[in-house]
This record gives sequence, structure tokens and C-alpha cells, in this order.
Amino acid sequence: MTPSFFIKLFTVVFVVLGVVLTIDTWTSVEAVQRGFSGVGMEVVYKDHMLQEDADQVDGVPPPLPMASSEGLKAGEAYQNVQVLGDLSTGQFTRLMTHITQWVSPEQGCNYCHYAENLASDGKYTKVVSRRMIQMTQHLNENWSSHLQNAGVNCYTCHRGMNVPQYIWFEEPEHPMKDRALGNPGGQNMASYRVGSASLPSNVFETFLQEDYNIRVVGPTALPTGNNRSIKQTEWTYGLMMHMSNSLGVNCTYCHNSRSVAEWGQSPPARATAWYGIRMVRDVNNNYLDPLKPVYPEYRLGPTGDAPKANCTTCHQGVYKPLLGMNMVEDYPSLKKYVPYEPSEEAEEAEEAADEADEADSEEEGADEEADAESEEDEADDEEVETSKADAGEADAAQAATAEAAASGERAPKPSPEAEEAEAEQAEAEEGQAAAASKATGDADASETATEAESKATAGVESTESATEAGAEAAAKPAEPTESATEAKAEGAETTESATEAQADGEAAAEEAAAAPAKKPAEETATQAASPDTETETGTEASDG
Amino acid sequence: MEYQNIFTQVQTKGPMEKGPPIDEDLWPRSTWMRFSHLIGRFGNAQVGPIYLGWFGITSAVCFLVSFCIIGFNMWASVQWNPIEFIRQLPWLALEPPPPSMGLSWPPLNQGGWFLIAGVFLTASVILWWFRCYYRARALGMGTHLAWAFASAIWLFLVLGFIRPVAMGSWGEAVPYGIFPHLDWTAAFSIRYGNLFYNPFHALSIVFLYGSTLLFAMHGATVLAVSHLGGEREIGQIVDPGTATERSALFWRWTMGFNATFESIHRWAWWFAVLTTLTGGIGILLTGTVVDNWYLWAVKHGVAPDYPQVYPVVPDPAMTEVPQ
Repeated sequence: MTPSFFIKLFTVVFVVLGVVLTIDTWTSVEAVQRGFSGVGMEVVYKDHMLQEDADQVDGVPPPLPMASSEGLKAGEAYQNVQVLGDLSTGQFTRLMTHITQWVSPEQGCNYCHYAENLASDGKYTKVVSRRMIQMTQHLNENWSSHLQNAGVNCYTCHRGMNVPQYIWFEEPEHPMKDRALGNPGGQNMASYRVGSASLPSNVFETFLQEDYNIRVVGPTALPTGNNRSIKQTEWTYGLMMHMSNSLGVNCTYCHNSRSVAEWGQSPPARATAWYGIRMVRDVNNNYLDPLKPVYPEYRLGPTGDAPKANCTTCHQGVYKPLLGMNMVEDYPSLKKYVPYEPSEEAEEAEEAADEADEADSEEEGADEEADAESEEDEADDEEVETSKADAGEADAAQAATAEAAASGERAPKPSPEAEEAEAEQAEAEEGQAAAASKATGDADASETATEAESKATAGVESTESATEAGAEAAAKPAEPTESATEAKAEGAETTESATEAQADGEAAAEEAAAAPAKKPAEETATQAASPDTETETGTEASDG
Repeated sequence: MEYQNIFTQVQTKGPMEKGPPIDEDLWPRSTWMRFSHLIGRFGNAQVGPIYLGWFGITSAVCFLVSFCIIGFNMWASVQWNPIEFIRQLPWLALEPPPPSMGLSWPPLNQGGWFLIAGVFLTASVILWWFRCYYRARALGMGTHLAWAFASAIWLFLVLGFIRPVAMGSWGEAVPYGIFPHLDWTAAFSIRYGNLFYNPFHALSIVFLYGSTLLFAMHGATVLAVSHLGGEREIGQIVDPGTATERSALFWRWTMGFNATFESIHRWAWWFAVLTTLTGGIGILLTGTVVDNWYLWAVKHGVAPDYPQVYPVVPDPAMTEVPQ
């Protein structure tokens, strides 16, 4: 073997390898330019991923023919219909059939129902399903900022499986965390959560449940007090890797590579993602995590927490879940919650159903078409879940809970229980701490609840109702700016309440188009869903 | 064709070369020497004699200590599982203390080991520098290598010691780990608004890539004229032969300009030294003097504007649109 033979051999091998790899890259990867020419603003598509995306869309069950809205309503015809009572029996049956296709195609109705008593809440799956229907309605009604026009239904996450494939549980503590040697500091293990990087892996807990500040980059050229550390940056980076993986996109789908922080130069998708983070946080804290007591043990995670959602839960590797297919237009009952208003004859049966409900499950009792009484009853329940659950509901009564904001949004909807008694309280000036604190002093919980209701009913501006709702609970005077919304978070610490209030304020602002609160940062948004605050508020409301 | 081979083509074998006599009463060089054909394929076939010396011994011990601290912490973090240790090795690391601890001395498992490892590693590197310096002096050589090494140590110290102290937090230091230090690097750039707009980072890259380019150009040139005596570089400096004439003309034709057999080595040395020198300056300025390099570049007219293609998206956190 002469050296020249080796040289030729090497050359041939390298050239062949190079040609093969180049051709493979050319043919299997496509980079689409989306920004100004020559600055690397492009999105990379891979053939096999596109095929998988298309396959996902093919799997969507086709919608059944629409059912007539005429005829007996489900709330009349059936027992214990707490959320979908306003549907006609035809529409109700159609939706149930779809839910079976979406969630339990193999087990059928019996996955959630006892065949001999469909109304029973005895199976945990039925209780969870009800909450998930509420969640779906909540998402479709309130989170168009992230869902755009596509909406979601059960299939968006479930894809024909009882439990969505992509869920997460809290990470158990690392076994070596408190030992003398080998504490990896929450990172430095290959984790699927962060794209197999060695980045910190508890990013779901940190950002999709808790509301730690995601932003790390300073707003000025020279140091002006931004003391975010490189480690915090690694946490943010980990979350971004999760999002990148979830959506099957590279960084420049949302960010301009020259400055990841600059909003002015970012693709619009970044704002959608921003809302998405808040949406997932909302869902985790107000719908998924509180279901923990409902689940049997084998559905819980290693630390005993309920299964929760992240970006992958819906996206499943696609930049828009199911390529942006509209998931809700064929299922109008999932677009928002419409309370069932019983006709006179039906009222009796209705009440019976209510009672049955409460007996069955406290958590769900709140969900029924709220008349003032039932609300107060609920309020007595000490369970935090109850109040949270209520909050998610459209009922005006729930304005009293931590999610007053949400209620505020719904305020314009006519509600049957409109009571004018509290109308004067409704006049409390929004944004003024004084008013808020007065209200606080005066109101006891039930009053507040009613107030909130009545305001909502009366179509008072949502800001106000939110204010008052908070006011009742608020023991301490809120800061001037945020007072309106914040007031409600009485138990919460000042910071938290402030943030929450803002969150509320935001929500209200959307509706009323008169948001007084101006908060500098994302922290506001980040903390909007602060679980602590909510819990506290909720508890109080129910205690009162 | 021989000059095209990647392996050394000539191995001389004769009596072992013991090297020139120097003053070495305390630590005499070892008498152990041998030829290795395999090693001769890559470098000089002779291995030995070996010299340890105080600096060598202490440096090696310090290195071993830090190596063991890092390695055992990595191994412990996979609960002493040898298979996982191998499998996850690229991900494992010894992590600096959390930033909340500032410059205080943290518990051992929260960065204490990291600091101890850092102390020993730094001692090892600096002791090794002295060894480089004094061995060169002992052999009557210049100390170019020691100073080039010092430039690298400067960057090492900036990353692990000077900048963390300036920032007031050991948490700013680089973790000891393969992927983790790369993640740190990426996070560092993100945190400070894109390090590519840091002019010293740019200089460092120029010198780094320039070093590789110069190395390739020089190596290729010498190999290409080795059959004309080109590898006798020092001789060609003062007594240029046809190897010099041809390679010089080649570069004048292809590049319009040529270094000499002397100056090319000065080019290479300075490029190498300036890589870490400018790099260290760039790191040191980051966070201490400049917080966002992109905005700094905009402020000073370095970052160009280019047409906005997307509709401008306001920051949702600023507009406070709720959902």
C-alpha cells in the first residue's frame, strides 16, 4: 500500500460522503425565507416532519351532521347536566358522540358513564370530562389571542386517546440534591424537556405553572440595573428549547436572530407564543392541577401531582396544532359557556338536579346555572378547587373568586340573576384605591359575590365589577394604579396582588376598553396566573 | 508524493538525543528514553527524557485534585452508576454556585466544590506557566511560548475569576462540563444581547479564524516546498534558497503579497496571542460595562438597519392586552 493509495482512498471516501450528505440535506430540508433578505430570517422545514404533520391532520374524525337546536333541552331531558344544559338533546347527543370519538373511541360511553345511570358522577372520568369541557369553552372564548380562529376541541390534545400523549408531571427532586457530592443544580442531565440539552429541566414548573420572569436581556446598552444572571438565562433558554421542539420550528420562527429581545423586529408569531405561555399557565393552574383530588392515584405523577399541559400537548411538533385546522366551528357548544335557563316547568327538575350534583361532587356543584343561592352554598365549600372551578365559569357569582377578571369579561352577557340591589356599589370608581378599600370594609363575602353578579348582570363595566369583587376580599389598600383589580387578592402579598390585579385589569380592559393599569413588564403578565394568589383568594371567597 | 502524506515520512534513528547539558542539580532529567515508531509517525520518534521539577509536580497534583473533584461530582450526580456516567458524560457538570450566593463561600454541594476545583485548577495552570517559563529559560530559549500561554490564561482567569468577582457573583463563572459550558456560552450571548455585536468578540474571532488560516497557509507552503529544502525554515530566513524564492513568488502571484520565512511566524504568534487577549477583554466588558451589545451597536451606529418585513408586533407585556 503506497501512501498515494491512501490519499486516493481518503479523497474518494470524503467526496462521496460530502456529495451524499449535501444532496440529502438539499432534498430533505427546506429553508423558507420569511424576513429581509440575507439576514437568516428563515424557517426550516424537514420533509419527514411535514409528512407527520399531514398525517396528524388526516386523523381528525370528520364532523357529524349538525343537529337541530329545536326541541327539549338537555338540561330538561337529562339529570345532572351542569355545563351543556342549554343544548338541545340532539346537539347534546351529537357532542357526546364526538367526545367518544375524540377521547375514548375504544371504551365508548362507558369510559365516563355508568351504562345503567348516565347521570352519575361516580366515575372520575366524568368529573374530569366536565371540567375539560369547561376548559375548552374557556379557551375558545377567552384565549383567541393564542388560538386565533382555530379554536380547540378535545381532539386537539387527546387525539383519540384517553389521556393526551404529551403531558407532564412535576419532576421529583434529584436524589443527590442534598448529598455532599453530585448536586447537578437542576440541570446537566440529558432531558427531553429541553431538547436533550444540558439546560435546566424544570422549565415547565418554573414558567408554565409558576410565573417566574422569562425575560433576561437588558433593555439598555449599558448596565442600568438588570441583574438577571446567566443561570436564569439558561432557564429561559430551556423553555425556548421546549417551545422549539413542541412547534417543530427553529428560533427565527419567533425571534430575530440579531436580537432575540427586540419586539420591534420579531416575527408576529412571537406575540402568539407569548399569549400561549400565559394560556398554558392559566390552564395548568385553574383547570388541570386543581383536578388532583379527582384522579385515582395511578393518574398522578411521581410527586402526586395532576397531569399538566405544555406546548407539546396541543402542538405535537407542528407550528400550529393540526396545521391550524379549525377545531371548533363545527362544535358551537364548545365555543363558550351558555347557561341553561330552565323554563318554568323544568325548574323543579332542575333544582333536583342541582341537589344531586352537590351531593355527588362538591367541586362541580358550582358549575350549575348559578342562582344566587347555589352560589352561596358553594361559597361555603372550603375547597379551594371549588372556588377555582367556579371562577372558570361564566356565572357572575364567580366574579368573587380570584378570577374576577374572567367574570368581568363575561359581564356583558345577560345573566338571569341580575339583582339591582348592589347597583350602587357597582358605581365604585375603578382604579381608586379608596373606593376599593371601602368596599372591602363593607362587603362580606356573599354581598360581594352578589355585587359582582349584579354588576356583571347589569352590564356594568367589567373593570368595576372586578374591582369590587376584589374589594370585598381586599383587606389592605391596593396601590393606586392597580387598586381596581388588585383589591380582590386580599390574602395575597402585596406584590402578588399587584400583579394579579393587573392581570384582572388586563382582562377587564379588553372588554371595557378602558384599562387603567399600566404595568411595565412582562412580570405583570407572568404573574397573572400566580397560583398562590388564586388559591388564597378563592379560599377566602368561599370562607366568606 | 510523500510531502502530501498526513504522516511524518522521515524517522531518524541513532543514539538517543539527551539534549544539551544545563544546570539541573535538584531535579535531573530522567534517563528514561526510547524510540516509538508509532509516535514517530506523528511527531518525533524519541520519547523522553522527562523532567518534572517543583512546578511540574505541584501543577500535576493540583490538576489531579481538581480533575477528581469535578469527576467525582459528575459521577455522583448519576448516583455512582458507571454506565450512566459514560452515557451522560457529555451532559454532566460541576455547576458554579447559585447567583443568590454572591461571592460568599457556598455549601460544598452548592458550588463549594466548584470553587475548590477552581482554586486547584487555577493553581495548576499558573504553576504550569512557571514551568514553561523556567524550562525555556533553562534551555536558553526565548519565552515566547510562556507569554502566548499567558494570554490563554488571561482568558481563563477572566471567565472564571476576574469577571465573576467584578459582577459580584460566582454564579457567573463557567460550569465544568462538556455540553454545560457550551450552553453557558450560548446563554451568555443571549443574556448580553448577542455577543456578535461585541467588537472584542469580533476581533477575537478574526484572530482565531485568522490563526487557523495562517496555520494552513504556512503549513501548506512549507510542505509544498519541502523537497526544495523548505522545511529548513530557520536557514531560509537568512539564506533564502529556491524554496523561499518559489513560495514567495507563489504568494505574490496569488495574494499580491507575501510573508517571509521569519515574518510568517510572527504573524502566527501574534494572531494566536491576540485571540485570547481580545477575547478576554470582550468577556470582561460584558455585563460590567455593557449590558446589551446589540443596543450598544445600534447606539454607536454599528448595527445596520434593514427594512422591516413583518408587521411590527408590540410587546404584549407593554400593551397589556390581556389575552
